[in-house]
Order: sequence, then C-alpha cells, then structure tokens
Amino acid sequence: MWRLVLKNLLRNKRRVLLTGSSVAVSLFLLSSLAIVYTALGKPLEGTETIPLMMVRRAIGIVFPLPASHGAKIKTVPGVVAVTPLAWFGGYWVDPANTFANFAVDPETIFNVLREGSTIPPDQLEGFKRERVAAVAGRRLVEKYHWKIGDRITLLGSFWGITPELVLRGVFSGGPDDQFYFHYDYLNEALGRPNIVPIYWVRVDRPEDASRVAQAIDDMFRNTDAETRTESISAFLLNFISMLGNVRAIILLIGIAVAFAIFLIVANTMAMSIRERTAEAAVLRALGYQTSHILALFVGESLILTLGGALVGIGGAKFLYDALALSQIGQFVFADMRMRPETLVFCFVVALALGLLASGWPAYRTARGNIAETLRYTG
Amino acid sequence: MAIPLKYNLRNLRVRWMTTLMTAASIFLTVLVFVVLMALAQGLQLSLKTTGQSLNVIIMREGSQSEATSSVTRESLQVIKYLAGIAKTDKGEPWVSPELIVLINLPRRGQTQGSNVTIRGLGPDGPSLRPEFKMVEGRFFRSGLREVIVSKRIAERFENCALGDRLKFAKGYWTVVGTFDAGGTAYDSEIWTDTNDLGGDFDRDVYSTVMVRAVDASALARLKDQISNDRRLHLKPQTEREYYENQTRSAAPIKALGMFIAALMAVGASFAAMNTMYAAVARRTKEIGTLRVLGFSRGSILLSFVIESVLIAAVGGLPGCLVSLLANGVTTGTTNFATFSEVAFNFRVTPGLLLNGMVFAVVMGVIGGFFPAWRAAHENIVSALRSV
Repeated sequence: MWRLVLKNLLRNKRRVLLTGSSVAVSLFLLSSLAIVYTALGKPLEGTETIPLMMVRRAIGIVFPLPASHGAKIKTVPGVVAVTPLAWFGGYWVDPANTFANFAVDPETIFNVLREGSTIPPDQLEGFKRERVAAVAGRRLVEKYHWKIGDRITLLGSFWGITPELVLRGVFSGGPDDQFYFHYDYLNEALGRPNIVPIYWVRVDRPEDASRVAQAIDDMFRNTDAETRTESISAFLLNFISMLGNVRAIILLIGIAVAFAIFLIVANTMAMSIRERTAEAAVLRALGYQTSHILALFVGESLILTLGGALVGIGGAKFLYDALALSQIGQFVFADMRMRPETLVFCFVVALALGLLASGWPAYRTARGNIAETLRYTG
Repeated sequence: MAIPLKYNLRNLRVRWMTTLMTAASIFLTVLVFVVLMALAQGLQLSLKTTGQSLNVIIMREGSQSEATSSVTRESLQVIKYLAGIAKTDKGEPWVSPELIVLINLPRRGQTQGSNVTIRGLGPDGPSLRPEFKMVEGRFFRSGLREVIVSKRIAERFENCALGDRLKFAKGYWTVVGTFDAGGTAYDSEIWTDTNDLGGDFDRDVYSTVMVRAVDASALARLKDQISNDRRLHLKPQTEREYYENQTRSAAPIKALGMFIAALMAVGASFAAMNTMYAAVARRTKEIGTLRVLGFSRGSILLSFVIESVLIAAVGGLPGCLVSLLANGVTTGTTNFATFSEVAFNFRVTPGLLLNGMVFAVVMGVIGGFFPAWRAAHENIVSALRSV
C-alpha cells in the first residue's frame, strides 16, 4: 500500500518538487512568524528561574529616581541585592562599535546578576578597587580583542562625558554582551546630581517576587518619585506593547500564509486526483475498499506536506539556532528561538493542512459510482 | 499571428476551480504585500510631510532627538537676536522655546502603556506650524495647567478626551481642547505651555528652540551663525531635515514586508507553475492542432504566458481592491528615533497599488514561462498523437 502511495507521488516528479518546495518555503515563513509571535508574547519564558526585578519611575522610564532610593529598597524584606543601573549609551572608538554599557554598583552587581554569571574573585576585587575600573562580558572581549589592563574610552554618550576606563575583569555565563563601570564615576563626572535611572533588584525566592514589588512600590507611594517595580520579562512585555499591535498583524499574516499553503496543496491534489479518477475506479472494481482509495490519496498529500514541513520547519530551526538571535539580539529580539511548542505547533498545522487539502476531492473520487468514474476521461 | 485572447479566457473558465485556487494564493500574496507596504508608507509619510522648510530646530550638539536635547535660557537669549529671524505680527522675533517630555500613558482598553510626547510651546509655537488647527474646545491658557491633545492621541489613549484630567508631574492637567496637525508627526503629541511644563518638571532648561528664518538665504546664514558660535554648542537643522532623518524608522517594516512577500511569492508562483504545466499537459493535442493550423512557436509561448498572467491578474486585482479597506485605518507604534508613540494611518497610494499589480504579473510570468516554453517546443506529430 505504501509503495503504491510513493509510486503515485513520484509519477509527476516536477509537480511534487514544485509543490513540496512551495510548501517548504511557506512553512519556513510560517515558523519564522510563529517564533516572533511567541517571542513577543512570552519573552524570556523559561530562561529565568529567580526573577530579576527592575525598579523605575512610575511616570516613565526617561525620568530618573533619586539615588537615596537604593538604600531604602535594600531594607525591603526578601531583597538580596540592589544595584543602580544607568544606561550610558557610549561607543568604543567608532559609532559602529555600539554595545550595551551601564554604570552600576561594583559591590553588588554580581550579587544581583548571580545566576550563572561568574567572574574570577581577583578580577572582581580589581573591579571594586579602582574608580576607573570596568568589566566586560566574554563575548564583547572576544569581539573587540580586548585584554585585561586595556584602556577603554567610551565616546558619544548623551550624558555628555567621555569616561576613560581600564578593563579589570571578564565575566561569562550571564549577559555576556554587556559592559559595566562604576556608578560613582558617572555620578561624580556629572557633578553629583545623585540620580539613578533604574535599579536592579535580586530577590531570594521566586514566590517573593510580586510581594517585594508591591512592597517597594508602596514604600514610595505619594512621594515625589513614585516607583514601578516589575520583573525584567514583564518590563520587556511592556516595551513590546509600545510597538503597537504587532502580534495581531503577525497573526493575520500567519493565517494568510497557512491559507495559501492550503490552496497550493489542495490545487496539486485536486489535479492529481482528477487525472487518476479512472484509475481509482479500476482499483475499486478490483475490490479495493473506499477507505483504501481514500488512504491512498490522503497519504500522498500527507507525505507531500510533511516532507515540505520537514525541510521548511527544520530549515527554520537550523537557521535560527545557527544565527543564535537570542545571543545577539536586544530588546524585543532578545528571545528569538524555536521553542519545542512552536516546533510542534508548526508540524500540527502542516498535518492539518495536508488532511484538509486532500480530504474532499479524495472522498468524492473514492465514493463515486464505479461505472461512471470508469468512463471518466478527464 | 497571435492566438485570440478568448481561447485563454475560455480555458480558464473550464478549469475554474484550479484557476480560482491558484489566483487565490496570488491574491493573498498581493494583499499581504500591499498592506504591509501601506503600513510602512503611512509611517514614512507622517514623518516626511512634517516640517516647514524655513523653520529651524536648534538642538544640543550630539543629541539625536528633541527629547535628549537641552538648550539653556542664556542660549535662548543669544538665539533670539541672531540676524535672519523673521518677525511676528507684533514685531517680536518668531521664536518658540520648547520643552519635550515623554510620559507613559495607558492605551485605551489596555493596561500596558506607551510613551507619549508632551510638548511645551512658547506663545509663538503654534503659528510656526501652519498645519495646526483646533478641532474641539479651545487653546490652552498659560499658568492654568491646561493641555490640548491631538485627535489621534485622544482617540487611542485613556484620559485624553476633552474635559478629562491627566495626571503627570506634580498633579492633574485638564484637557481643554483637541487639535489636528494635518497628518504630520505633531498628530502624536500633547501640547501645553512651555513654562508650565518646565515648572512642573523642575526643568530650568529648554529642550529645543524653533525659529523661523526670513527666507532661504537668511536660513543658510542663520544656520552658519549657530553652528559657528562656540559659546552655544548647538546644532541647527531645518524642521524638515529633522523629521526626514526619522523616516528610517519605517525601514524595518519595509524590509519585513519584502521578506514575507518574497517568500509568499515563491509559493504562489510555484503553484501557478503547477497549474500551467497541468494545463499544457491536458492540451497537448490542441497545441499540436494549433501548430498545424499555422500558429508559430512564439504565439503559443505568448498565449500560455498570457494565460498565466491572466490567472495572476484575477488574484492581484481583488488583492489590491481589498487592501484599500486598510487605507486610512489609524494605528500606532513606537518611533525608535525618539522613543515615543507615533500615530499614523495606513496609506494605500496609487503607486503602491501599481506595485501590487506589477508584483502579481511578475508572479504570473514566472509561473507561466517554463510551461509555455515547453508547450511551444512540443513536437507537432507526437503532440497530435497524444491522448
């Protein structure tokens, strides 16, 4: 039976190739859309076990908090470590060398990051000791061929200063494309305005997260600088929502693509079934059941779509894994990866389309009057 | 001699199911393409059409957007008395010191918010922007914590309708009017008095200063004076240049649209190819007959390509028509040049529709050419014998 299906499939090689490759290309597109869709919906899901919290001004991220908030946040029960974080926005030598550089508290930053992010103890000591010291993630160091002891000047920042720093350490296993230097250095260079754009807060246990967030926000309610505390992934979600209804647009495009695949496969199957109407009648005259004929056609369609799916979805998985967008992307693209559920979803769509596309014409041919269909000439 | 078009039309009608399915996949491709491009175009046009060519925005050297710029009060005094600045009706220099702040407001029906630009204007700020006109209510009065909101923002954000009260900085601000700025970037803003806003946010500097030059030659001189004044450290650019630089925010949407349309086009043109190969196979005998009747290879090739293009047109035309439904729909996204909300309309222009049709025809030609080539090179004798 399966041999017959395969033989039938290969009868018109060109058609199979054309249909198979258009299914593959379309499913590649569909799985790309699905990846973006899930990345925008649930950023960082599953990658973060103990939540890193972020405290910012309730009125908007462009307004800073007073530096005195740090010590107060530290007193909230459940908070393990707090660091100020100032996005510096400088580049190294050339504007093309733009990377994430932040002013942080060297005493606490690695307690806040903790999870997986490691730095040799002597390098950490070096970072803490000098005001001009800086540390960089492993990937940055590799990219720019830096060595410990190198002098690094950050240019072009909107803060209006150009810090001259010395690389004292390399960390890995965390946000390896970031660069940190002393918050005190920044604050002093600016003439001690004592403002902090955001705080990063590490809590002890995941179940504490929402309670701690509430406690921090309550503490500053009705003050001049009310806060908004949320986990980094919640912040990303908020950020993504600023893009507008991108997800709705992606969903609509996805539906259009899926429908296009359906049409392409249905067209091919309708053509090949029509050509073989008389053959099907012969098989039935020989004693094959309706269900056999049905299985013959539907099986052919399924091989076609699933074959295309294997190439298209597999190609997407391979390509996006190789590109490792989750490693290089920032903000909204921080979490572009093929998740298992996305993979399964795409294959289920392919399966459903394969069944749908061949169902009706196959059923009609398989059920028709034998004598009439035997006479069918196309 | 060419084969009559009627031959193709009849063939398409006989195989209507296949024709429709193929056309439908082209329809979807064209629709997605045109709508995504209309999105990019809308964003681009809202930025591109903003700005008078004689208005100059003066910002801090090195700042990329108004929100990160700062201009001191002393600099304002220097700027005011530069040569080449036009005079208002009252004989004052036509200058508006402005303050830009971004506040996070919730979108209507959502808890998640977006950054909206609040612009504090000097008394001559509105007259520098002739596209501005009030829609409802009245203009704000200074000193009373009053704001006016653009119509698009009022429709899309909570607490922004006429009579509502907005909470930011040190308290509540009353919405006393809504305005329309003729589809420009100002249609995504909230306006108030520059000194009220500065007082409430404890800002002792302005963000930018906008001035009107007398004429084009004065404009060039004015820009030179500002750039060369070492006291100021300021960068002048015309209002139009400033917004044109932001149109690059539409580039990612365009690239995405191209990527999606290209991949969908591969699928659709392969489907057309399948359909046309089947059509050629079924009509082998007819092709032989046509050749015997004296139709040349060229006219057979042309005839089949035309048939394929017809299928594509059957899909492309409704694709373009349906995309018109999106025309004028307002949407919003974050402009990453300024990090604030920009509200704009989908713009389906005639040029875009033409592109959509050309795109459909190209898919038809690609899908039809190889099958047509095969039809044209069929051996006459064996074609006639085929069943």
